[in-house]
Amino acid sequence: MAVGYKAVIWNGFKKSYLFSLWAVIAAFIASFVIMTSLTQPEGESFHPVQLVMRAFGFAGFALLTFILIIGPMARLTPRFKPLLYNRRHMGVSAFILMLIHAALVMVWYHGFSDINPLLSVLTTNPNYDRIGGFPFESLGLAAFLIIFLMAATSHDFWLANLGAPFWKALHMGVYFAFALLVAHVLLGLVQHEKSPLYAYWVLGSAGLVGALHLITGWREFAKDRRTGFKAKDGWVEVGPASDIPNDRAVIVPGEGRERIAVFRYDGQVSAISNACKHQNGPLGEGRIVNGCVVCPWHGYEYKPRDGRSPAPFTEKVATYKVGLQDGIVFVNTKALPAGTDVEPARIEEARA
Amino acid sequence: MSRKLIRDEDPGEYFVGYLDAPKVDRRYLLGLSVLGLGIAGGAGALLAKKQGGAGQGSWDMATQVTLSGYLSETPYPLLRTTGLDGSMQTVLLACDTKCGAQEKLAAASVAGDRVNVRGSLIQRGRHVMMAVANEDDWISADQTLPARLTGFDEEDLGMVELNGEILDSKCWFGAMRPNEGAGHKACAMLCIAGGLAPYFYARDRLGRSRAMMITDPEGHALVQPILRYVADPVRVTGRVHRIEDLLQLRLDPADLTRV
Repeated sequence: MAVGYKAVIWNGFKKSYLFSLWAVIAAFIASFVIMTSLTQPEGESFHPVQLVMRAFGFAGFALLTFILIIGPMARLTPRFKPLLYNRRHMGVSAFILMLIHAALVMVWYHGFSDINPLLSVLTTNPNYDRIGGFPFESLGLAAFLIIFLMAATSHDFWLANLGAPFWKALHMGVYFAFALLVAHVLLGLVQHEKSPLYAYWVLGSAGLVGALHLITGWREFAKDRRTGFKAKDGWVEVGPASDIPNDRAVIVPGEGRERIAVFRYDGQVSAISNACKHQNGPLGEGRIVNGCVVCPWHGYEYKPRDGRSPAPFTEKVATYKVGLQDGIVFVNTKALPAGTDVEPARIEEARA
Repeated sequence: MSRKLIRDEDPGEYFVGYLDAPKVDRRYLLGLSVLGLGIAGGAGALLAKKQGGAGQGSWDMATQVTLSGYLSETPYPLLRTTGLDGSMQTVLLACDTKCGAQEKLAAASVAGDRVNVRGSLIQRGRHVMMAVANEDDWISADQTLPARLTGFDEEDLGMVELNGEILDSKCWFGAMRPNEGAGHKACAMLCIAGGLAPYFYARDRLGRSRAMMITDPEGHALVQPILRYVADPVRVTGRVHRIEDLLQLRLDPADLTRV
């Protein structure tokens, strides 16, 4: 968290992460370029421009696929949380790869003529009514524009100034962009290449992204059903206080689609909204560190009794009334205005 | 607890991005990096290895050559010159981008059809094209060549039905590699619309292939009606006509069908 805006708040881990990321990207591109040069039939080498164009296009698609599996993977294993925290860098890196690919396509295939290259992408091939020979470049261009908007607004400055709902809607566009890119590759490269490997790769990538999202969504749904929380007179029975690990939370359903994170800490229990103000991260999957709930996604902090970020930060989330009866924790499902101070339920006092 | 309320995860170390990373996450990043390098290297190699051939041909942009021969502006600008073995060699003429040499010829206004032309060669087997030099003196009259008293050797080779693909000559001769298929479609359309000769690249089931210049049934340039078929797999019925070493496929666009 930071009060002011900095382009990147560097630390040793982040530098190592970014170095590793670009080492992997470089390994892919180098391997692709070298192997293509070595394996093309005699006298049929790729033109260097087209080789680089393809290498960066492939790398961009592969990286975007990986970016999209980070979210669900982080819900399956906490070891993906460092990747989630630094996902913005990966997204901007994917944009750079796609930018190089798109620039080469524009210049090489659509440049050197009397028509504006951008116009050429959209109009030279008019076969929008057919699958075979469809102007697949237009799909790539649309996806690129979405990724560009996301990369340009990826910083928290834009999140704060565009407003969270708009920013989040914009960044959910990555799924649409990915679908466009799948179609872009299927209607372009896959139609040209004889090997089925490319179709397997693209469809497998789409399948992997879809499957992981379905699996994690199903786990959430199944967990809600299994735990079977039900509200009575506006109160939900959470369970024995002793069953909530110290400095951790249990997530229970609130009103509508709201979810409530019920934290146990310092011999007491408090409840706040499960949705982080930053990017809707699941606060209930976070921990209490130094007296504050720390979001597992990007480390935003909130005090558990009033849902407010510690000064000088100003974020605040809704809080909920909690109660203890015979060691059992109850939480009222009616959300109090964000930042409302609520007296925690004290476990020792209740037991006494 | 009876109802499983807490996710199974190691509560020992908790990653917060702006704090020092826990040891377990540092180790994990290291392992993931090594794994990522291996997967990226392997995937890059596999995706590279399974690619089809990029096509033959080359464009030696660094070498300028001068050719003497007989200029023809129809159906597309070309020069008929004599090869080392004494046989006639057709050399198509193009500008250095996505256009034929029509505009440059119109600006040059050379008298007669015996000329010297200068430029760089794009070659694919026996198919040759010259990207003419950008200087004004790229073409000049050559009165040392003997005037032709007879026409060129022509032959009607009959009607054919062919499967194949319409391509632009410049890219297919070697300006680009790969130069076929969906990925190259828009580029080929721009090239043909710009005046470069369209070619029909016919292939049979035995893998044999032949490329022929496309003209209309009378042997004139054919551009707009075939543009929408460029780079699609098509079947066509037409008449093959030979002029010296150049094969023309003379076709009616109405006889083109996608396959």
